[in-house]
Amino acid sequence: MIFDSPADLAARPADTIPHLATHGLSCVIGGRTILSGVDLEVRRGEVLGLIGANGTGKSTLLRVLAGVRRPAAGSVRLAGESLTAMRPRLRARHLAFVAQEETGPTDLLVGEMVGLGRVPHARAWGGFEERSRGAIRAALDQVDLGYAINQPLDRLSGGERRRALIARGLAQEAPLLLLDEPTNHLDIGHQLALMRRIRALSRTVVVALHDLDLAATFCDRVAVLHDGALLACGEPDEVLTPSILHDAFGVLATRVTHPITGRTHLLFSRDEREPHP
Amino acid sequence: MTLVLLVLALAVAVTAVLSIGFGAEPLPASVVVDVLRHRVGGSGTTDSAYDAIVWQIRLPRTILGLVVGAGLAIAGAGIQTLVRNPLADPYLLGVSSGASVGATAVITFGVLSGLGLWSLSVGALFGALLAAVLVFGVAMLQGGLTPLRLVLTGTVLSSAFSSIASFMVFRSAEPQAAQTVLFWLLGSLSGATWEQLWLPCVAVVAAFGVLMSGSGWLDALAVGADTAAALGIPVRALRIALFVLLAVLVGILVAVAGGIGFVGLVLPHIARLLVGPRHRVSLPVVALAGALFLVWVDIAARVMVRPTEIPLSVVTGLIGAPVFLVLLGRRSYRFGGDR
Repeated sequence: MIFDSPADLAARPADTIPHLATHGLSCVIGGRTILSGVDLEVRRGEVLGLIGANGTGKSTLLRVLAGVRRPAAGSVRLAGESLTAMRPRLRARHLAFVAQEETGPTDLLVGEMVGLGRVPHARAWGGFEERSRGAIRAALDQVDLGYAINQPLDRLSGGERRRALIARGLAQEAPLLLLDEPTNHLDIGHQLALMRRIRALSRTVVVALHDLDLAATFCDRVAVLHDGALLACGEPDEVLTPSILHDAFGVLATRVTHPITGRTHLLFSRDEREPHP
Repeated sequence: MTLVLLVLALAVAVTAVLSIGFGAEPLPASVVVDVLRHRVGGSGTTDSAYDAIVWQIRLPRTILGLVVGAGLAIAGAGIQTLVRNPLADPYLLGVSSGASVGATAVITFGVLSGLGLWSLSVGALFGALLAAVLVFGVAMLQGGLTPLRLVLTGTVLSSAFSSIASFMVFRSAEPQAAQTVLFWLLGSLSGATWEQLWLPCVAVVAAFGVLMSGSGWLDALAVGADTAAALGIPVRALRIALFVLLAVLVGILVAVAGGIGFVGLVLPHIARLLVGPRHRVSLPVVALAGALFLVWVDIAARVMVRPTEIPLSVVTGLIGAPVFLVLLGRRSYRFGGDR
């Protein structure tokens, strides 16, 4: 599933080198340490969930992984290559990052906004190629928004907007996708539908999530951040345990079995012994 | 989109010929066309008096109007993208008030008088670039060329430069100084000569080419710095390049035509209304619309209270203010998501 990736990255044996890896990663913003000593490996083709309480550095970690923010210490390697040394344009062809929404000119049409994802592929004076048109259409179809291509962005509902942003990431045709809370502001139906679509993309995905049930259901592995450090990383069953969740969120978690589907779910209650942060 | 461009291009061509006919001595369009054909094609006969009026006086003026109008309009579009603010105009970078310091120094104290007719332009250009360097330096020292930083630094330093210019006028022994400075500040195309044309022409064409070639990057920057960075755009370098390009362009335009207001503020909005916010389509439209607008403004400035000429900013303000109010009042038009 590697599109348009530079030959030297694509030629590497897929399974031996992690798609994305950090080593001793630290990040300092305005004198405050946001991340410290994060060692994380993202395997090729997996959906990795990133969870943690507010302010534990999920968004910062994603921004560093995306190359948008430079780490204070440590390294990020994309398929074995140093991400910080990589040319930004090349990086953007291999890795798409969809942050929380930024409000640009909202009179952009949906197709135009998604077309921004083609910027890393465009040549300075080259017009709008047929290939770009195809990529935009395909990206919108993947999030079921093909009907909205000529609508103004601000006429979409909240859920459609989130999907349009993800389509912009998809239009980059990068094999690795980083998503910062894509299910924010979505109702439960749209959350489930969106996560199902993300799973069906068959790309490597790192996704920050607030909803632990979504993480348990849709992620191959889950990484738990706590106070800027990686508390645990592994399959949902190993990681979403009452003791880890207590450390990370200060809540009491109970596992229950869904009476109909038979899946394991989590129930939460406040830990009365300690004040909630 | 193509239709809008075609209509605008046609209107610009017709306006250019018509504008030559207006002035203290009105000329019919046929005379204008005769002179142009004689000069360009070498065919036909022509009266030497008409030739002097058309070729030596009015044509350079019309061309300067086209170039300055187009330049101010694309500079406005560029700066609104750079600072992501609908109220930004090309003079936000401190360039025009810096130019006014330079021009005032020339007018009141006779600085650079050795350069003769060029002294005013050179003084203004010098002041403009110095001001831009100052704004750039201060903004960089205080955290980089972020939109908020640029708006604040530009606004604060602009008023400081204006104060310096006012102080010089106040201290000047020249009784006419205040009026001369005011007239220069409000903008005029009346001094246009062929020798003066090439620099603004080159600057505007080059700036247009550069902005068009980076139109995709500008689209992303308009959405937001994070989005642009995620798309592999070196945001910091792009902002610096954009600042330098716009400062030099506006500095040159101000040096030849003074501080013409409203063109760079209003026309980018009109272009976005016509063809949407993507730079690849809106920049050609804004350039043509700016050229068209300023030539008509100059015509109005020449004929409204003949035989005196009104400064251009007076006319652009009179037309621009109501247009801008109408635009802002439209419920369907928004910039950057603000209702």
